[in-house]
Amino acid sequence: MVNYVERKRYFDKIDALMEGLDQPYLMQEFMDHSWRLEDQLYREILRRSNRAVVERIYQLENEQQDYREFIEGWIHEVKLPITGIRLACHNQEQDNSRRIERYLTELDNDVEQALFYARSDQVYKDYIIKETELEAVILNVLKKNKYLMIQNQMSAKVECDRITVFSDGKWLEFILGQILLNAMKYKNENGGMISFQAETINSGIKLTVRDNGIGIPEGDKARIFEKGFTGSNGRNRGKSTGIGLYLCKKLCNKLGLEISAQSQEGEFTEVILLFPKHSFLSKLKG
Amino acid sequence: MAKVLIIEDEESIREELEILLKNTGYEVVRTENFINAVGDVEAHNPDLILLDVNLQDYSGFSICTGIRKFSNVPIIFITGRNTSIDELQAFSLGGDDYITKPYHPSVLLARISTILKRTKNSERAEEQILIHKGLTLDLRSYKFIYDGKSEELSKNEFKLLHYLFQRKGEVVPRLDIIEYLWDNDVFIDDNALSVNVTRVRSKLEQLGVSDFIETKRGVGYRI
Repeated sequence: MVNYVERKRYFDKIDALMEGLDQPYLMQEFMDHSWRLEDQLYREILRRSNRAVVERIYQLENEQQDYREFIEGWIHEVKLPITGIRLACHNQEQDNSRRIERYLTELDNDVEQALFYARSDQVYKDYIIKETELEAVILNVLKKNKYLMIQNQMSAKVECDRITVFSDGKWLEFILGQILLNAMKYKNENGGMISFQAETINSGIKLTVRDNGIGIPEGDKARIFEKGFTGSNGRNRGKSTGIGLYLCKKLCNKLGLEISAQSQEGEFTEVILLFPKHSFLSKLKG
Repeated sequence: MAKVLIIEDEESIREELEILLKNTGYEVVRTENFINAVGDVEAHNPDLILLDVNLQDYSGFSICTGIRKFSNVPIIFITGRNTSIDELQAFSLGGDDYITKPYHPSVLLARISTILKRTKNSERAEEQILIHKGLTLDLRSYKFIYDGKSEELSKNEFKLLHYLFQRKGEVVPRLDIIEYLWDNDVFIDDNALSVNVTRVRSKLEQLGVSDFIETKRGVGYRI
């Protein structure tokens, strides 16, 4: 009887400890010493088994790190020929090179997506938060995709009134680029218009990116930010990888932005970014 | 004519860059011997330097430090790396701008001319007034003037007319105009171009000018 109570107390404690641990596989490190030989033997077995797991995790982490570094390195390599082709196109006579530049923009965007995907888990290692003019970032995105946009008969409008946000320009440019590409993918047959509009609201700065494209079917709305989700639009047009908006959402989370979408099928899609007001920054400024 | 020094180790890109800059009207010098890049800067005394960050065994950053010891010449870093650390370092070492590969030629040219304008502004003030067939385009006030009367232009109309003035006498293809407008922050499509041309024409008519902008059907416009 005494033995039962004692054992129950012992295991309850272990259970509670387990619940409180971030990494339960480190359990053995925190277990109390027990005078029973049996407990000690089990504890030693646990220790060895866990150590094997931890080693395996390290090994996998290393492999993953190697792979990520390889991808990043490769992307930088591939940017060289892209730069060369782009310059060569620009230096050539116009009409053919315009078509090539368009494909080049597509290639460039895909490569960019891979790069940011590879880096997306480590945003914290690579950003500079500073006062950034939204308009400047948007103009860059539009010019980057100039050939693609013009050949797709797209037009754009930017209303940002010199509004600034505290964010990292490079990541922001990527996010807005993905939204732009999406708008282009799901435009109407005969051209389309995308507008960027920023306004100051109570909780911060709101940037609305609106297109007049085919919109999102009701049933798909809830899932558009999921990884690999292409939706019926994506299936019908066969161009979707389901990565763009997923990455946007992920990066927004890392950068402390809220992202949401609204749509009316056949009418419009709106992607809304919210840059929250940081009280300490406003204090510094004011 | 401004002189640009290119310090870039990738031969094909260096050559294309040189063509691009020469076509745009810059004098180009280049360095291929990176040990002595700083010496080349002294010898050529360029107005602006395009400096690659990764140069075989050398770092553009250390070359920049070397240059800054004796010169304030504008330096634009060009790099395949786009991490924030690189960017910070570029500016902290005295770089004036930072562009990542694959850059767009028109963006690069725009950045170069912005910096040169800032540093060489006294040398050659741009012409502020353009005249063609009796019509005056005033670049300061966004107005055009004919026979003593004037009419104001919207930003889009102004940019459009400005471009036609730059290529007066030529038939300018529609696509050229649209691309020029995109480079200048007016993001319109083909239909909107027609609308803008129509608006400019009606403003011209109010001043008593007709047939100033000729339409070449299926091709473009000429003034």
